[in-house]
Amino acid sequence: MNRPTEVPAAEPDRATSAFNRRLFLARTAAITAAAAVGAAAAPAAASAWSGRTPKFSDAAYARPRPEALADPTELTVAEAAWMIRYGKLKPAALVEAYVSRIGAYDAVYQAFNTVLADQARAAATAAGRRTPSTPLHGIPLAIKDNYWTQGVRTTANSYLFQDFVPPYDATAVARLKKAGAIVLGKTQMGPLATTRATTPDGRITTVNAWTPGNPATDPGGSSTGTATSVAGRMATSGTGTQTGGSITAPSNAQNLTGLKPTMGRVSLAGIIPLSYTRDHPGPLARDARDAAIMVTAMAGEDPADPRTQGLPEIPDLIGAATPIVSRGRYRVRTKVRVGVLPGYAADPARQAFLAALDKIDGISLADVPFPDQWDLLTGTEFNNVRLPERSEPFMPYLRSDLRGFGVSVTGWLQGALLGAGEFITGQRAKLLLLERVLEQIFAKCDVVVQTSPVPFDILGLPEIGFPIGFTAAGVPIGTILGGAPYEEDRLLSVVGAYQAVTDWHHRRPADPVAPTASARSLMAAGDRGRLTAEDVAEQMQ
Amino acid sequence: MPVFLAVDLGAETGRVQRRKRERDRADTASIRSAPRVAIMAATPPTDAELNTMIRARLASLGIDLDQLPAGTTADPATGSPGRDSVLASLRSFVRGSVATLASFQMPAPAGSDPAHAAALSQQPAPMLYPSIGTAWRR
Repeated sequence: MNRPTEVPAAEPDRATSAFNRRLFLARTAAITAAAAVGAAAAPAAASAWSGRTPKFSDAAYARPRPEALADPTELTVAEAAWMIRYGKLKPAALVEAYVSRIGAYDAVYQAFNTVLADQARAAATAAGRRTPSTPLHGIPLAIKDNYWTQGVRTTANSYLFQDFVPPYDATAVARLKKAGAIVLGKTQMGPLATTRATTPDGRITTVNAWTPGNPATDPGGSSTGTATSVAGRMATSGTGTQTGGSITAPSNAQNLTGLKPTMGRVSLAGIIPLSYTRDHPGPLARDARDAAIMVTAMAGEDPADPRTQGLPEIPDLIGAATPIVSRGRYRVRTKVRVGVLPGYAADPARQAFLAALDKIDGISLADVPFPDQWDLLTGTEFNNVRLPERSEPFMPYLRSDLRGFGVSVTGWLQGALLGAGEFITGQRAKLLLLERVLEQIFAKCDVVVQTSPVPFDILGLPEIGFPIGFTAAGVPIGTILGGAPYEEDRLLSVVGAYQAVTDWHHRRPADPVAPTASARSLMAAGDRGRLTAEDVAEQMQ
Repeated sequence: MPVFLAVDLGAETGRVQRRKRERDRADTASIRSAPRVAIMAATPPTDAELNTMIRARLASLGIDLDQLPAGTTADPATGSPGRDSVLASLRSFVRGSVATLASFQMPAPAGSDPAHAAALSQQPAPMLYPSIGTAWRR
């Protein structure tokens, strides 16, 4: 087993509980100590999922850009896959490069709460002995800490799970590992996936990789740690979950490409639930092609999750993300109409984005309206219909340990107050909203810009977040496109073509200045700021 | 026979509701076809009444709010809020989200006879997973 030895096995009473919580706080700041955790070999796989790995086309392998050859941590998944496939890079060297960066910079970033350095090294060495058969062979990934990982503590950054060591991998993790990927570590997240990453008592941990000296810059939540690890070149790619924007928002905040697939595309089995109808697993990646590779590996039917069954076939996502180039011009493989909602183009970065899209062969723009009653049906009150979904599975915890929810408790109590009638009203309204989206938006376009991720989270529709520029202060600007059910390929085709004619996605943040002793002291004291329970109730996804 | 709804959105959420209704004024078709209801406002509950209701509802589920610290000061060890702070937030939730959802009626199809609107509004089914439903309904 890979259980951290510093975490007590039981919580017999309140005094011990408080003691454990102090340990939790100490541990989340102790990356170096955590790095030693993975020394023990993991037991044989005991995942609930045991399926087949999909075939990947040659488009999943990309000759690296010249500037990426000097540093393996700069490579995208597709580039690293090309290097490994042709014997120019060993998985062990790739893992070692990332472990080195984590050792150098994660004291500042605080992207990980567990680093499985030795376990990753062992997996990379083993991968080096096998012939690569997928683009994820030997690729180190950051895994959000609400995905179960067999033998590795999975906390969701909550006191409630501080001792939880899952008996098997989440299906999505099992799929990625079966495809050859290596779990490099578990990432910081908002407690129980509610806000930006903090400790369970609200102390801010993870910073935006683009402004490591300013914790006030929004890093996006709650898949913050994964975003910072990928943006800060401490993992090639990673996983997140989105209930209210937590893949697209951190991707937008940190210059990444995050794909939230349609509900059911990726199994939720083995992921700590926040809201059953709203939780979407997906990747945070460096570009559209990497996101396509990740989803291709993660997606598919799972006997453990009925939501994944009876759905349309997964299209060729990697091909979709790879535009056709002819005589120096890029075009999408299938014509796509991009819907533009009223008011979207008020921002100069968005205007430039739309202008660039309009020049790509095969892409056209179309004005589309907000569907009837949009603000009402997607607003706070109807969005709150999700809350009983978080209360119900947590009822034993609510009865026995309210303080164990830390700063996040209010949303769980709100969910317990919402009546069944109101909940049913919300479910009826969701279908009404979807019908209006299909009739009033998607009758006029194939994909549509988003002004908030929440409406399509309510509906379980796919979204992709990606970079479109920077502020004058050097902070990334991103945007979101939404698609019709199970049409992730259309989203990827637009973003893949846009990224072929722009270079925002290739830009990386400067390395942070290594923290001084005084800076470490400040971080230990929680001086990055702290969210209160009131803040969390207002911001929670 | 008219349908009566006892609705109290409370002063705190009234402004939000008005703003949204203004934004949604374009919904003329669906609003016109919505069931004709007469709003008969019940006496708004007081804070004390809501506190009793909230505590009783949670207690009926086995949740004792007294697990949280007394007053408005958060627990320094866990950050969990004081129970008075939580009660204030939960009162706002009941007056806002619960009341808004409870008062919503599904619109009847455009052009429906207003006399049938209430009955027609009962027909749309709930859908827990609307996007998945599109595949399962093919």
